[in-house]
Amino acid sequence: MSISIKALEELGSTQSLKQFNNIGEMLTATGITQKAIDDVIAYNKEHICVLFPEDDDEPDNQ
Amino acid sequence: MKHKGKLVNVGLGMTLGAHITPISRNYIEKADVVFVAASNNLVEHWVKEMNPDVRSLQKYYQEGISRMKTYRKMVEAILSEVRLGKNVCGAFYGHPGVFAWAPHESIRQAKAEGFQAHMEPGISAEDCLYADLGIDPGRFGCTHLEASQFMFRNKSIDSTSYLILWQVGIAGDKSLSKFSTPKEYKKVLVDILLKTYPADFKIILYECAVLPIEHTFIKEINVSDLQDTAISLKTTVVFPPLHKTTLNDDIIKQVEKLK
Repeated sequence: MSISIKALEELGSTQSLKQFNNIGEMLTATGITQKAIDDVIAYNKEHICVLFPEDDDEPDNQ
Repeated sequence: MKHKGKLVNVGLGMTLGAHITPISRNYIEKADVVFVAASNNLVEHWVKEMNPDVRSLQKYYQEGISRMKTYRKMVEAILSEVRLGKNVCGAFYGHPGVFAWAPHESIRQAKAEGFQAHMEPGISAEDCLYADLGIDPGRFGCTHLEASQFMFRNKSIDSTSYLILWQVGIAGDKSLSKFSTPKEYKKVLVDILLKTYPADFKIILYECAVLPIEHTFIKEINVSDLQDTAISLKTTVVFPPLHKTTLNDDIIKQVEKLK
C-alpha cells in the first residue's frame, strides 16, 4: 500500500482549519487538491489509542 | 558506564503535521528502530515515511486481554532492541508521558539496566483542550482524572475548579480489557457525579483533531445525559467550576502579620 501523505503533512504544518469556514477554502488557500486529500483519507482508520491506566496491583499505585 | 543501547520516547502531538517538535522528528529520523503508537493509521504511515524501520505497537492490542499485558509486551518489544545495542525511539501520539504507562515504564527499566534513556514532551490532548475551549487551568484550578480511576479510588471533587475526566469511553472497566463500556457502567459514573453536580449542569465533550482536515469536536450536554451519549475512546469530558471559591481569611490574616 502506497500512501502519499505529504499533502496532509504540508497542510497540517502550515494551516489550521480554524482559520477557514470550511475545508474547501482551506485547500484552495494551499493549492492542495481535494483528490489528493481524498486519496489519502481513503486509508483513514482509527487505532486503539489507550495507554493507561496502570494495573491496580502495581506497587506504586497502592 | 552506560551500555551502548539508547532509548528516547517522543511525542507526535495530536494533529498530523502540526504538532511534532523538531527534536522529536530528529530522534525518529536518526533512530535505528522506531516503535510507534499512533491514534490513526495515517499518523502511523506518516511516521513510517520518517524512518525505514518503523514498527507498529498497535498489534499488541486485543479486546478481551488485559491492557496491562499489552503494555508490558510493548515495553518488552522496545527494550529488546535497546539490549541489542540499538538507538531506539518510541513515538507515541500526543505527549509520551501523559496517561501513558508504557513510555514511562520502558524508560524506567532501560535506566535500571544501565542504558541511557529519556523522554521528549509532545503536545497532548490536554494542551489542545486548553486552546480549543479557551480554558486557562491557572484561573480556577484544574483536576485531571482517568474516569475509571475516579470511580474506583474515592477521589474527591473540588467543585470550585475544572474537573476533566479522561477515557470516559471505557469508564468502569476493571478488567482493563475493553475498548468501550456499555451505558450501565457510565450510569455508575453519572451517579457519583450527581452527588456533586446538578442533573442539568452543562458539561463539555471534547475531541481534538487528529487530521488537519478534521474539525475539533465540542458538544455541550447535561451531566445526566452522559450515560446515553456516544462516547469514543478519544472523548474527554470537561466539568466547569460549579461553585465560586471563598477567601481563607485566617490564612490571609496570618500572612498579613508577616509584613
